[in-house]
Amino acid sequence: MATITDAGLEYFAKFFNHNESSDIINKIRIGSGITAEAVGNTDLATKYTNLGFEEATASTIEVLNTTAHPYTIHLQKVFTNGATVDREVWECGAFTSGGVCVARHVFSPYELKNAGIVQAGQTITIDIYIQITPDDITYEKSAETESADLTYSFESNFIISATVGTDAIDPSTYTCERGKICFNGVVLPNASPPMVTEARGGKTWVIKCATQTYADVTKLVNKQGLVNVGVSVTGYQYATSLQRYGTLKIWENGTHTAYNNCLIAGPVNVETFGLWYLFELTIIQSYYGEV
Amino acid sequence: MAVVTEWGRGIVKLLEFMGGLYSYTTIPGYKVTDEDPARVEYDTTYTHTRTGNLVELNTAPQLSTPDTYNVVEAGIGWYSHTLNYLVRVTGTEDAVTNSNTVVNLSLTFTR
Repeated sequence: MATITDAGLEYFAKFFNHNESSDIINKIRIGSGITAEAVGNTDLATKYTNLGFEEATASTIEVLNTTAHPYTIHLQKVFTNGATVDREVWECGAFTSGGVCVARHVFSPYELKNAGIVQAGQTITIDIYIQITPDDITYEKSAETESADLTYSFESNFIISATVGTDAIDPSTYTCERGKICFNGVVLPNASPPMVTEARGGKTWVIKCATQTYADVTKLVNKQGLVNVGVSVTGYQYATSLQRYGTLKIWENGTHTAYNNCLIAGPVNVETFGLWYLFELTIIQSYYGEV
Repeated sequence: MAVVTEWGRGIVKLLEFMGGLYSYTTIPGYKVTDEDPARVEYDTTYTHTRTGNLVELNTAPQLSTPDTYNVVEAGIGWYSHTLNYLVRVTGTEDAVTNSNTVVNLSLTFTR
């Protein structure tokens, strides 16, 4: 759930009240702040303001009235990280055209796939659903007389709530440079041909890498985690970690083959040789995906 | 005939206005008489007040040819979107001998 703000609630009342506010709900902002949601919020805690992550008009604005989403306005926007570094998304909000923060949401750790990390050049899709739930109607009628009107009176509440989609980042959608091996879209630099062992339902790859750019090392090493590997009662290999599962893409026969539910087993040791950084990645695939 | 009060697709219309999918229109009260064909009366001068998150609408559409009518439906809808009533009561079969039928709506926006 996201939090409908006081300002958002007032906006709804103003809009309904003979268009006292003519703003429409059409803007989405994302940010890296982790300050808890509060009804008094008027903006994100730490919003992004540039390089593709700045406030944007929703590319999809639609009204849903389905079983899953009754009386709901849906906003969607795909943000592309135009920076040269990874950026983390921890919060998002729906705003009116006049800048009123209607709703704000702070993602829980691991709520988003790939832990909210958006690599350079990659995208994150934000979906915000704002729903009106009409309460029971209290109804009264006054009797008509010669001198009085016949009066029908309705009284009720509109309950406003908001939710945010949690499938914002799917690592299997990350693209990989032609001819390369990638983990979540990050190229494994100068990767050696992988040494593969296969268990039932999952594989394990050991790949040696080398680079002269330390930033290329950190992009991969920060995805490592201690991995617990075993075999389930049904005989399939499982692998668990505090890191989220990623996707390994290997160039094979002129195209990339994607392997989902993969983890980089840590610790990854990095050695130096002259100007080079050398490291070996062990990537383990689980038969089972996200719980 | 049983009296039924209910919400209608006017809520969807409200959201469509908020999303900019349609231009906002006013909310006159309306009623349907037992004339044939049924008559819909508007009130383009309805009153509206807001106190915080409470909005109150009061409308009194006038019959264009005052007589005795049976009001079989009364409610509030969006002008030019009368099929998308917001809230209504049906099955009233109330006779009116003057020209006014008043419809009031008190709506509180809460979370």
